Amino acid sequence: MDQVTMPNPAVSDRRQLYRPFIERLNPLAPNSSPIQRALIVPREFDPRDPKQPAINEVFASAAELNRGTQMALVGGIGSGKTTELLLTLDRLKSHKDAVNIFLDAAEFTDFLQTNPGAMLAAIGLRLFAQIRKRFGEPSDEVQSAHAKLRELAHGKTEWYDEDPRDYEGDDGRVPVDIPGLMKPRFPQLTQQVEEVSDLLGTILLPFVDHDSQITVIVDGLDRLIEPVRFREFAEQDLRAIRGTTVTVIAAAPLLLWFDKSRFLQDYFDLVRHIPAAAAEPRQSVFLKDILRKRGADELLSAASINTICRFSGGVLRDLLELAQSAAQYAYRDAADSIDAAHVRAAVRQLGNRYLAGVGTAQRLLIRRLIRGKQFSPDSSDSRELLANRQVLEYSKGGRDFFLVHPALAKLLPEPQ
Amino acid sequence: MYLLICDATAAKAVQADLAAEVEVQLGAVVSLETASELRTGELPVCRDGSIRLLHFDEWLPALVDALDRHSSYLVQDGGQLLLLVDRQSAERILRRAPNLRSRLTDVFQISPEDLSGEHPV
Repeated sequence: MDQVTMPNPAVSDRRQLYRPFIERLNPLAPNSSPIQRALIVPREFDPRDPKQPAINEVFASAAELNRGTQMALVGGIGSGKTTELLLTLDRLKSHKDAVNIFLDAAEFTDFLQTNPGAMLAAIGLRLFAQIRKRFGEPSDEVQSAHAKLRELAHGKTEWYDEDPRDYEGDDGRVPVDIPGLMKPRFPQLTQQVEEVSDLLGTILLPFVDHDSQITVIVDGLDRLIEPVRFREFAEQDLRAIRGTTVTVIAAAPLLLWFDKSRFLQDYFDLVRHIPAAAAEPRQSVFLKDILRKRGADELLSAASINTICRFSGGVLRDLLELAQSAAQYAYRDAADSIDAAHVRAAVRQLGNRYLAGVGTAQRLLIRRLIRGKQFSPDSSDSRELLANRQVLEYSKGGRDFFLVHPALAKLLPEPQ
Repeated sequence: MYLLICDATAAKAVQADLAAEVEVQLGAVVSLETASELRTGELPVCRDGSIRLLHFDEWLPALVDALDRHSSYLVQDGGQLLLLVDRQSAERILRRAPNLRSRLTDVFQISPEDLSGEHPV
């Protein structure tokens, strides 16, 4: 005879125990969502220098006082750049007359190719959308600029009898450019960028008339890992709005921080760097606060919270992920709280993910660093380790140094 | 978002087994896609609890770059994205796509006889 199984009330309670905690930890949830925003633990100071104010405070006050400033926020993957940008936005919103635009790079580029002018076009379209609400019906001039900008942004189809992209002149001769001896500091703006820039200038007119404070925050450009790709954006789109009163704050890839050309410092008026959260993650009150705000005290012992902080390496995304995966191990184990074994399993899982795909040359670099040898982000292998967060950059007392991600180091044998 | 590594020869069998397993266990349908047939601009975005399995049947660096740079949008609202690759492609993806890597829940070795995912790489 078939047995009738009754639902186990303890199991359903357990689901209620873990689900809210895991949902609050979701490192993949868009942190622009109100629930995630409420969970943000703001940093009280610059992570590189505790004597300096928080980055969002510095950025916001620069945007308020020095219109037209261009600022860059650089940091590794999962270091909390988006959070810092959102906090900057919140500060700027406190002024009702401030015009703030938060753009994600995915809105204006498919990233498969560099498309100079796309970001400018996106800014122009977003600004135009605000004109009517703020200042009433836009002038014919502004409306016409907007129509042209839309065409440039979204493309159009035109019909020709012959292909107009025929580069040959009437006499069959082909133009050849001979570069001059004098090299400009930054490359010339492309014709398309100049065209978009002019149209944007027209759309800006009503804002200029009202002496507006315009800030554009651009997130996601840091996903262009290679410095050269980011530079292409900065040298065209950002440079085209230099000299206007539009302030720009952009997230930049970590590798630019270590780029020998010093492009970041050379190009931007203000640069801030978010290193891995704490040189000693186990002692970091900031990291513990992040977990406690999400309810960690209800399910984890103080020792386990310490372990998670330590093995996160101070990478905020890893901190959340470790706590989440430890909770999932505990749930699958039918445990009513997360114990040390669940945390260990989560650390192993994270370490394995960092270990996957590491080549021989990179293993050598990792072992050297574990043995206390110097690490320099000069080679492609070492830059890859940094970009992938297998090696983390820290800053303490004005000194920068590198360490192997502790979850990865845990999987590797102790040095002899 | 998971990276599942299997032998190229076993990919079809793994896809079929995974789809059947998910249907039985979760009552959900897995949307099966092949990387070489994915049109540019149509990234596999998973919303509303949908589950998509993308099989990398060949090495497509442009697609990997696109996945990397849109990694924060690939999985939303409880969706699941499973990337099925052979070992060589897995290593190349992990090296080439740090944004994607940082958003992977885990990396598993998988075979048709063992879908438990108990074998981290």
